[in-house]
Amino acid sequence: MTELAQNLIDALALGSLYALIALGVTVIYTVMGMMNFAHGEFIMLSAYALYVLAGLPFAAALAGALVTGVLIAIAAERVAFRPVRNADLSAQLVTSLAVATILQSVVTGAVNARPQSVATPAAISGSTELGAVSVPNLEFLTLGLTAVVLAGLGWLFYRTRTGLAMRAAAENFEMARLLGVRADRVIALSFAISGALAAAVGVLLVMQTGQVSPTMGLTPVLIGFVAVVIGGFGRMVGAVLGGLLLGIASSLLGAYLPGDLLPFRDAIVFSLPVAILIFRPRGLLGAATGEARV
Amino acid sequence: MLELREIKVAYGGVEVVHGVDLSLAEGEVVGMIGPNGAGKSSVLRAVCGLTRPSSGEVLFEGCVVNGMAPEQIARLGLALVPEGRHVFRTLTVAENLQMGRRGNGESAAMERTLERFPILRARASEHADRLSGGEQQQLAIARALLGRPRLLILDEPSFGLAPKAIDLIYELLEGLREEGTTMLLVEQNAARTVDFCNRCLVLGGGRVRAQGGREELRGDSSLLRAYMGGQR
Amino acid sequence: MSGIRLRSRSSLAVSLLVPLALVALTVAIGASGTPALQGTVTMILCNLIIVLGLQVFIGNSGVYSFGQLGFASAGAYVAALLTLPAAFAALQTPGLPDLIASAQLGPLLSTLIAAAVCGLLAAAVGLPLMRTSTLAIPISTFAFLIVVYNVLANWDAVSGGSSGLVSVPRTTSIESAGLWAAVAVVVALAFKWSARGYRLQATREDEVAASSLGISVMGERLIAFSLSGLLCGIGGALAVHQSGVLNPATFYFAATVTTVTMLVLGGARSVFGAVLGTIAVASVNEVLRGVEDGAHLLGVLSIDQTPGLTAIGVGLILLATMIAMPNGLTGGREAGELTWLGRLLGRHRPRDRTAVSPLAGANGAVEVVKAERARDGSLRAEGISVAFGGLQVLRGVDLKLPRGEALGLIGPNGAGKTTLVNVLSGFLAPDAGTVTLDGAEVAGRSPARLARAGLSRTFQAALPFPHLSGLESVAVGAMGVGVGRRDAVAVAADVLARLGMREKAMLPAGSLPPASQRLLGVARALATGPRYLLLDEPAAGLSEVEGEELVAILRGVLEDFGCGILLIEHEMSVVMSLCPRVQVIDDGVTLRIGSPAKIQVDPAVVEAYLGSSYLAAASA
Repeated sequence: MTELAQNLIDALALGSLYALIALGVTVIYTVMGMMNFAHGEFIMLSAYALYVLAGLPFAAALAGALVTGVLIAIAAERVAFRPVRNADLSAQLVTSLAVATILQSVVTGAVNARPQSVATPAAISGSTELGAVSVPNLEFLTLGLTAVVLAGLGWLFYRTRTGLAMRAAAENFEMARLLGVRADRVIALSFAISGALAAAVGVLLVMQTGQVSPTMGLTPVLIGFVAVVIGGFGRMVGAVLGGLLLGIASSLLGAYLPGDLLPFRDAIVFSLPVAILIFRPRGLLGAATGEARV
Repeated sequence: MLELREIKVAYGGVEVVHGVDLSLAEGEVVGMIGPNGAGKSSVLRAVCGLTRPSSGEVLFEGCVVNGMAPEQIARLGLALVPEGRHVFRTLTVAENLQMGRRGNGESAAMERTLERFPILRARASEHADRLSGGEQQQLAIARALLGRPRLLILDEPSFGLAPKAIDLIYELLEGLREEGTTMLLVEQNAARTVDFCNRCLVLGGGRVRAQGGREELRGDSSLLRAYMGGQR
Repeated sequence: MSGIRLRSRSSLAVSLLVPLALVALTVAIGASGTPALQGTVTMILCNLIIVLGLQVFIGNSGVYSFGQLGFASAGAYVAALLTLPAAFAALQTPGLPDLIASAQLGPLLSTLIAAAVCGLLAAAVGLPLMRTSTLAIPISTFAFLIVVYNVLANWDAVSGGSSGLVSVPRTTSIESAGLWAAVAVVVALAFKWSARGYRLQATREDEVAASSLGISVMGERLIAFSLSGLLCGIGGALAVHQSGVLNPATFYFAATVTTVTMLVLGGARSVFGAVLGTIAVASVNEVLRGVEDGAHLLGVLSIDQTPGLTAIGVGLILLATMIAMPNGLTGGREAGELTWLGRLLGRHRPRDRTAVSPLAGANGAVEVVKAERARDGSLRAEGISVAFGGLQVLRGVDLKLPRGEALGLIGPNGAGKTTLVNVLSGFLAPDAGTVTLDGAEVAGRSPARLARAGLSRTFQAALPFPHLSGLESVAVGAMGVGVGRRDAVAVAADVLARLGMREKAMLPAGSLPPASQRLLGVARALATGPRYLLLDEPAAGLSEVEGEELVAILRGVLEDFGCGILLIEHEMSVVMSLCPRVQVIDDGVTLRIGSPAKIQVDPAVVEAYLGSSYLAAASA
């Protein structure tokens, strides 16, 4: 019983982290129709901000990470993604790969290719006893942060005019523009949100591993895409659901898989989306729209 | 208010509109009719900034708008109710209406609109894809009106609607006309449009084939020929 | 039938020889250099084979797969394990079955086995993956890549785990890699220009139009996916026999990014692009690395900063290229299709117009696919009802189209005409009602199956295959129903000649004016040899003269092909002069069926079109 509770909390925490990653990827996809592979580098750069600002009070370093994520995302949109906004999928894809390569190399060149360690505040590295269950404080932080982010995004999307414009643009960009929605502004804002989400993920990853490295964004962005596909492309709720499912499956498999199969946990986890897509080609919450345009 | 000068539109180097002129004064209601493929939609896309005309000028309130982004043109006070309505299906009716409001438009305007379209008030919290075609058309018109446009363009408002729903839409348009709303109405439904508008242009093959008021176009064989073939 | 070609001999020769010459040049430069350079160039050639593997699938299908490096990885492991000396094998992979552990095959045999294993693996993996949607394939293949990585990294007893394998025999010479690369170039081009390749390209150009021609999107993708996996397996096998070392990360994310980048930079649709892109990216990489090394020697940079600058340079060049040339260096064209290259080689007309001349007249080839002329049989629909959401679009419509007859289907916008055609052609399942084709119930069959059964259609939009020539587009129609490439080309030439389109046969369909694109759509549908042809507004946007020409053409079609034609049309003059019978639908029900002359003056019809007040005014 205790073990189950422990495992469930672990699973939920990992699922939350994955949901944050998937959300960051989806925000761009819904508005621009682009798979942004550079999202992993937004995460990585935010994490490096924490490393560079290690001398400052922790709160200041956090703010620095947030600002970094947002600014990098906005700058990437302005410089690289805007010129290919109307180009085809492959041009956008390769552009995002190019941005990823450049950002990664800049960090490698400016800092080092090797992982650098970052100190974690004691309050976060400890754990709290809840009855017989010992929950790492980081998991509380992850769950709390996810809750705050989801609430914040919910407020933005469902309670503000800007959020309404973003949802409308996500469904039908041309019609939204005909109603006066400024395309540049909506896209820039999407990137800012995506960057902020990347920053949150970057901070959590640093707290978890205690280190940063130029390639640390790779695995998260892959996970993000897979989660997005599971949940259904272009749906915010789908992204959250996909992320949660992927994280929970991964975590529970880690806890309950027999020892000799344990190393193959990722192989099993990443076979999941394929299995889901065979039965639901548009993902769990995929829109039933997009009928053959005849 | 709106003036098109020798508008030509081409897609991929191929011209589909070969020089259309049109002028529309404040308070006027002008129709543009013609069979499918006549170039009506291409002209509208050029006016709204969705397509850049290959040559010619679009003037709105005396200022050249071709080359501007669609949102800039919309913000100048030109509203399009597109063919197929294009309500936001994933948003509620109320949210669709909110999308039509510009800035912090006063709630009195919203109240007036809901009075004009009582069905929208009744179904405000439902998702727009739950509405029938006629209701969606009302929503699309209401959404456009909330931006207090100086010119309202309607592209095939009767498309795919049952006769009763069409009657209702035209009743609403009649009301707008009486209030002095300037409108450009694009339709296939020729007789109704000719009756409704101050004057009409008949488009065919990317050119203006005929134009004039109700009296001139009524019984004019060119109109019937445009639709029903030449052997009459 | 001979002499009709999709491209001129010289264009074909240039398309084949220029990439081969580039490969040969690469080999020559590498072979004359230091051993280090030889190794680098050999690796580039192995990469080239993998990129060509990517081109076969991605270039022809237009769907991105990020899983192909998984096959390169699998190929490398298979080849390595088959050649690893028994003593090393016992040390590194104790769990390997004796048969494989003791096997010490030669380079050729191990490469061939690796290729076969990867081809089969790709077919097995592709079977479920290709069922997912166009949008999901990039990610589900990505997931496959992760699965391969994870299995290899943890299956210590067999794969050597994350530290991988060392001491693999280094048997790949620069010449053998060059030879394999040349073979891959030929295979990729041969596939692209085979009937299968064309069918796949048609799905890339327009999935809907392709399926209306009898093409199974999933099936064609699966074939190419398997061939692509096979080529990637060869590339991986050769690479491990060059480097001698292998670990799960060798062919993982970084290699995926590099190879996809090479493909897209060159222009994914073109085999020449794959070659050019690979060599361009590799050269830039090497040059920048050389500059960087030079800077180190001069003390401008510290050693610590090594790997960064080259990658930044490559990234920036890539970014600039994508912004300036979104279609890549070749624009997706083969060497023989590039004007600048033709000029460079002293050929003034890369698109040789003489290739058009065999099209001079109808050659009767269409008989190959044409159904028997017997004019019995009919396409029937009974009680068709369709609703979208709350909107009832069709309410119990009947329709009968006998073979050899033209039936006009008219009605005001929104009457439900296109919906009815979508039901007849299998794009939409009706809520109620039956469709029978020559007496056989066909409701619920896919558009592709219906096309192969003899029912073909065009669309309101022309849905051209923009990057295929007119002749290719039409030939795809015949290929779609199973006609071989050579015969399909003859059929296409025949159809185009009958339609008076031979001047346009060699131009890319995307560059033609809308009227020609529409006509091309009709030609494409005719090349499937339909017994029933459904035309959705073929005259929309045509001028009066073009409309008259269309009528003449369709009349010829009726006589030559003996098929039944259902004509949806707004242009009344076209309907009136072609169809002895016209069916009018309005608001989802049949309003009238009768002769054009009667329909034209029928008050109910005029009212449906123009409204009642018009009638009142006209009769007043």
